[in-house]
Amino acid sequence: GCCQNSGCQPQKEKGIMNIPLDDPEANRAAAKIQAGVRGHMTRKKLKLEDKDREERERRNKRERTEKSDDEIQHHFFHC
Amino acid sequence: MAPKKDPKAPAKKAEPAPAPAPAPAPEPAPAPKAPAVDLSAIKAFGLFDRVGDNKVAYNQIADIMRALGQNPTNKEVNKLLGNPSADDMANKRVEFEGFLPMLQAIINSPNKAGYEDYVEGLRVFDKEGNGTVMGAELRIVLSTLGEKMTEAEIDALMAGQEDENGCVNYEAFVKHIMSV
Repeated sequence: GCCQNSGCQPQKEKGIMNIPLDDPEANRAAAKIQAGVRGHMTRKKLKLEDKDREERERRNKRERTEKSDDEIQHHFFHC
Repeated sequence: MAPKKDPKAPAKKAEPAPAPAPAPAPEPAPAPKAPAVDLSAIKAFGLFDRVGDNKVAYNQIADIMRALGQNPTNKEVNKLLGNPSADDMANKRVEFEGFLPMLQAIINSPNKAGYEDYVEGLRVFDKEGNGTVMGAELRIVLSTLGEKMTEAEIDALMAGQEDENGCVNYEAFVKHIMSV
């Protein structure tokens, strides 16, 4: 459509909020940011998975210990 | 009488020399590497091998690099993998010896972005020059430019990043990104 903006460059396709979809500079800047973001999110996700795994292992260990305590008591009182 | 030593004759060895072990194949000169990267790289690589064949799929390579603190673009990784098809990405696998030089290329890349690069990149969208970008605009940038992100990824990223006016202080945002 016709651009009212004095700084408008009709060759560049602009989306909502005047974001230059075809501008190589803007795309390069975006790709760099996205790379940093993806790095961050992957590391964050792996950190959480590690935490989950550790928590599960701690729980399993506790359950095994409690279970063997129960078995010892049972044996002591019932056999 | 002790035999005279003939100065011209070579000294006789007391025992016959043992047969020399077969010489090992000459190893190629190792590529220069940072030792710390090797150990964590081996560990990370192993963690990503879900099949147990000491290999990882092409489509896991970028994530292993990210796990090791790198921030490659998908384009960079695809280039290192020889621009594989989608099928290749899912099905082709690579062993550690093939992965390591790719990791090194990313580590040694001259294009590596740091704090300033990210801030400058976001400053492009700071219309008022006041250190903030509209959260809504940043979301659109991330989903329509460069290597587009999904809405789910963006939502996860932006959680807690916008102030009551929907603005993002991008220096704080970059620090947050670089904190992990």
